[in-house]
Amino acid sequence: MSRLERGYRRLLLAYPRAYRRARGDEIVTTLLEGAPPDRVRPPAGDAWDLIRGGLRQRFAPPHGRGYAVVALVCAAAVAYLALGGAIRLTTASESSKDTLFIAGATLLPPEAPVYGDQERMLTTFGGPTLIDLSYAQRPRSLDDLAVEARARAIADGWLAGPIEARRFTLERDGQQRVVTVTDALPAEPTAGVSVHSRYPWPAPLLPVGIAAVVLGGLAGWLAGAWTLRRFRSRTPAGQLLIALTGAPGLLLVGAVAVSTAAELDVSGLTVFTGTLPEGMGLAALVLTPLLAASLPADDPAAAPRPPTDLVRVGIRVVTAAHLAFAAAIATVLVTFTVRMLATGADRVAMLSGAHDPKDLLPLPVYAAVMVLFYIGIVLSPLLLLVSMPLLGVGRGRVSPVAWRVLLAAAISAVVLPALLFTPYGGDASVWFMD
Amino acid sequence: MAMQEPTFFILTALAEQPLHGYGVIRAVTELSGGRITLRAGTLYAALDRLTEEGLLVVDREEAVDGRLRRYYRLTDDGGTALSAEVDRMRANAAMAAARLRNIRLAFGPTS
Repeated sequence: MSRLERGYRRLLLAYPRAYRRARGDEIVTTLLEGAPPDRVRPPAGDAWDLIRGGLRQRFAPPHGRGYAVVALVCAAAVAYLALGGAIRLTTASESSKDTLFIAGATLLPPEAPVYGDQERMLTTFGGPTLIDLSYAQRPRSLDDLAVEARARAIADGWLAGPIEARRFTLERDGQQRVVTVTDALPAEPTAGVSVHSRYPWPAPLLPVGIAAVVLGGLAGWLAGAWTLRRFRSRTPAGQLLIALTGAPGLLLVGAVAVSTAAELDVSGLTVFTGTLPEGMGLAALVLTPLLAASLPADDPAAAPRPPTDLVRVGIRVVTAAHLAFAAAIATVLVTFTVRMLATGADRVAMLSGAHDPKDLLPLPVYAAVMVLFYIGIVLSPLLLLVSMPLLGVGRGRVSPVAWRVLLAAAISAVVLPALLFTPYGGDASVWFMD
Repeated sequence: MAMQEPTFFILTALAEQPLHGYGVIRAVTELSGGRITLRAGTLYAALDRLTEEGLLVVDREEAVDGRLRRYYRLTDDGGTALSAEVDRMRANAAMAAARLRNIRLAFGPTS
């Protein structure tokens, strides 16, 4: 083996082993045939090209059809979940908001009426908690009030620094606080004293959070690309199952992430609080690669299939999804109505808790309906963005029956969610969601 | 959707006769007038994709002292895709040429 060939074979290590076994000799032959006789080592251009090709074989999502976008969304979703995990981990031992308020209030004379609020400093990691004491009416000068507050803190066991410009630091058990005594702000209550505490993120969150976002994003990308590569080689039924699991998972996590981002400017920040939508999204995301791994491959050697018509497959997938959501919403409305008619109860009585929907349906059915119902409310209108164009394109390309079924399914996706916005439908969904 | 230029030249190279990897690289360089020089990693990524899309198949293999040449051949679908691309390019070119002629008629020097 020449030195040049050894060099090329070393570069081929960038490719997955199975690929190397199937194509390695062929690629090396091509490389050597293209090399001028005096070449002794692979040029940098070839090296870069082979490493890039190998990494793409290993880690890239499949070519075309927006697979890369899906992989990016997976990366973002997992990065978000990882960040949520990092926040939960680092803030678990944090003293609660109530503790902070009480800590601020102990600095004040016991008889003073106290108002207060606490907020997270979103861009601060580590460092002291800032406590502002604002006096609306003050019997003494602010300087005297600062001295009094400091004395009370020392009596409470804090180690206090000197007062500078009505500001002093407190330390105890590694906790640091900076207390400032000020006049009342115009917007604050005109009586008594208000305590305004601003507390930072725990210092470890900065490195842990960055690591979580980077590693989570990477893991999400790799898992997404892997799932998509598997997805592409599954049977149409398998692909439908994978898509119907993965897409709601991504949508649920995405919706929670968007609502979290919308809340960022308000003090009450919640990231990954383990709410039901987040949990369902996470479960669906975990289930998707498992499905992709376990479903049988579509063997193209078995029987040469005609090239799949995307429109036909799309119509089948969209119709099935519409009908599943419609069935769930219809189940809610029908069970509500049937129960009401059967027992003679009115709508108010139905909501009283005496008629539990879980008594009517077996629990697995109830859970399945509830999941589809939840996802359907979010997804049905979005799905119309796909089914409407398909209705236009698909006319004449699929059988008239299939086209009419899709039309009915699309109409149901408008009518049924709309029914939920009527008072009756609203009561039914409240009753069912319990 | 327009075909990428390297893809177009790979299919064109294979339209006449089956070729092995280095044969494709040489033909593409020649056909593009030296503009496009494919490297092996890029070439095989493209060959994999086109094979998967059913535009190419492996025609035959030749193994000589540790070397392996695999010859690729255009399928019927590949021929169809290439001629569709040719039609598209021809239509575009004709349209552009017609517009240029109109401009010359309107503003060009009178002859």
